[in-house]
Amino acid sequence: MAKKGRENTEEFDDSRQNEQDDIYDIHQAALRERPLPEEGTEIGPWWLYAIILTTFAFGFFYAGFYFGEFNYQPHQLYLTQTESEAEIEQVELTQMELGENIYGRVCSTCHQANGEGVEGAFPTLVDTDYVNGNVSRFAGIIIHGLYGELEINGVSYNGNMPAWGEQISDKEVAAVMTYVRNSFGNNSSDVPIDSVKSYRETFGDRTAQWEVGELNDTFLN
Amino acid sequence: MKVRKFDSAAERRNFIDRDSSKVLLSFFTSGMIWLLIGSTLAIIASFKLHLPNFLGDISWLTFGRVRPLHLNTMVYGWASMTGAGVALWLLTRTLRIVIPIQKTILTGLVIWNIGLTIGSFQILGGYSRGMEWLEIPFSSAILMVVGLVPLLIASLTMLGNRASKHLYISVYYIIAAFVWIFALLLVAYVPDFDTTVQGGMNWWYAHNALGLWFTPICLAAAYYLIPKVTGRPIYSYSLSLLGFWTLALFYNWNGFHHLIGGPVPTWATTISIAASVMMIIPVVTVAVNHHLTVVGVFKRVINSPTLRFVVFGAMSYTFVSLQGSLQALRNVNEVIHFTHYVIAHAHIGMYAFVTMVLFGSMYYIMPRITGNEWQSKSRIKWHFWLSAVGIILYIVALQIGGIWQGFLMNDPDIPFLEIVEKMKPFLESRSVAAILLTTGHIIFAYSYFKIIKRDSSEKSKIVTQNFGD
Ligand code: HEC
Repeated sequence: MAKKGRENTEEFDDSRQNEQDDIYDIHQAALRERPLPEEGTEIGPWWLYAIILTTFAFGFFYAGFYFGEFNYQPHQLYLTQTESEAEIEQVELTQMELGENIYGRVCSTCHQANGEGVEGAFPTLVDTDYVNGNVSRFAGIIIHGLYGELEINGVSYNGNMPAWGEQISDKEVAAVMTYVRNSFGNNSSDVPIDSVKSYRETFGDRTAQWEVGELNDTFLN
Repeated sequence: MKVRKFDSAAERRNFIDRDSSKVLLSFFTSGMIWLLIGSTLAIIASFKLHLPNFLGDISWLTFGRVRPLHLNTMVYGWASMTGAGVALWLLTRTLRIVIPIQKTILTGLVIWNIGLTIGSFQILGGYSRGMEWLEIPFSSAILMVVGLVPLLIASLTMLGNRASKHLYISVYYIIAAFVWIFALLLVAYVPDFDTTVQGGMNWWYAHNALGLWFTPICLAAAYYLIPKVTGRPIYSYSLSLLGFWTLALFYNWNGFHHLIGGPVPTWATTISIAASVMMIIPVVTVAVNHHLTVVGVFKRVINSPTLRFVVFGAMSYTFVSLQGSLQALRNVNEVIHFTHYVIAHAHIGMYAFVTMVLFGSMYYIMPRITGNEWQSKSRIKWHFWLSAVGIILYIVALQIGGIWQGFLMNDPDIPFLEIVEKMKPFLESRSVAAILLTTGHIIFAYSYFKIIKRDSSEKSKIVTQNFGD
């Protein structure tokens, strides 16, 4: 069992184990240990150096190739400036397409994708005077929002529509109005961006939401 | 400092080991208790992934708290405390000097334990910082840092007063680890980063905690224990140094590869990826150095309880690092990011490498500092096989599942919930693995508490001696 170079425990006097502070305390494990051999001085196999050099080369190549620009902007890697500009021009949307886009993003959660709303909660946009009538009044509803009692096609509402003027631009307001006025069975004129601009000029200082009565008094009289 | 003369090297070792006994046992015992706590948390967290209602009504035991606490107890409790103990022991051996300021170190350990305990309750109570590896709030983390200070002082004092002229490679690693961990904690807790920069700091820290704290300690242990047990000299001192300095040079750049695809500048991720690939250099150098040391005496490695664990760990280090270099590449990362694959990768690092090396080191150190012997060979075997099989099952299941998950998630036509369903068998295998690992830990804990208790009724059986341990 215990072979050369290693001590056999049975030879030790076990009584010594209790003398805790005695430095001669027998410690079998420490005594049977092999000494720590001194390290070799080989320089290693050649292929190790080949691997090291290849790795270095790859690392520097990779860093150089994908470095991008040295600035704080995220993700410059996959789009160079010129390409992205060209792309933006290509995807110039028509007013209807832009309007559909905005409608889907903003209005459809309440007025639903088909424009019919939810009876008693969100009024329909089909065949209503607010949509197909006075353009400034419609712009006002979108830009400043609307609350108060309202009757649409015989159903009464007393809801609250938030203002969107801060979130969407004049161009987008005009587009979504044009879209609504020409979808869901509506068929009214397109809304030029200038109508929205002139509304903003007149009511630019306004911060309050429109109350239904006030809205109608302002635009219909 | 008193200079003592010893008649033989064995006597000197014996004296030093006995002198460090109290400090080391305190570190190991703390580590052991945190290991058992961490294992329990691991099981709870793992089961929740396929049984989402399990303990789901108690806010303290929801996944978002149990899982981070599992990580923190394992990292700052088990691995850091045991690792610090192993590091101190390696310093006493390689520098031939006793541990200084022992009382201060022990007080530090108590404060550290208090900090981690408070931190654990803070995490469970919902006061986490919300950053992986840095969940513990400043108020309790500062206590852990205070607990680490004496270790830095002690290790530098030992280096200054060393009785050996030659600096063994393990010394480089350990001194560096003690210095680095302070640099890491300083950056992680002192400046007030926010948003993207915070994410960057977070991963810089977490990756370095593994690479510049646990890795050096465990490599130091492997470098010492392999020649010690096999009797074969380390193949090459120059390769050891090359491995150390290239690790020091490249590792600290790696963290940003966790943010590939995130809102960070391209150059930052690119450099990090390049550095991750460069990690091949230290890793292959160390692997070649270890391999050429044990080549021809592999039987001794298999037979020695210490080396079984340590060499398993060293091989896992090579494996996990090469895997890491590969998965940092953008097109690989595209698939495996946000999948179970990465979790398995992290466990190859923290378990198959770090934890296995720490187990192996403890098998070597314990008989020396207690003066007792391991009582049961079969318990060691069971521990090894439960750990080895458990972690292999864990890795295979989650990495195969993870790659599949990655491809499925990259296909926008497949609904997310369908993928969640498909992952169930893999997550169940993970729970089986968790049970195997925990059983191994309980067996190890039993052996451990047996060996520290000087049990005169039980005949001292030497189960490790014949293997050169
Ligand atoms: C948060 C839900 C909500 C959103 C989003 C919303 N609205 Fe409204 N909208 C309402 C409510 C509620 C009313 C009724 C207000 C009332 O009762 O005074 C209303 C009223 C209207 C009216 C007048 C009544 C009618 O049916 O003709 C129009 C026109 C209108 N909305 C258009 C739009 C357009 C265009 C958008 C998208 C830019 C939009 N709304 C977005 C909730 C919303």
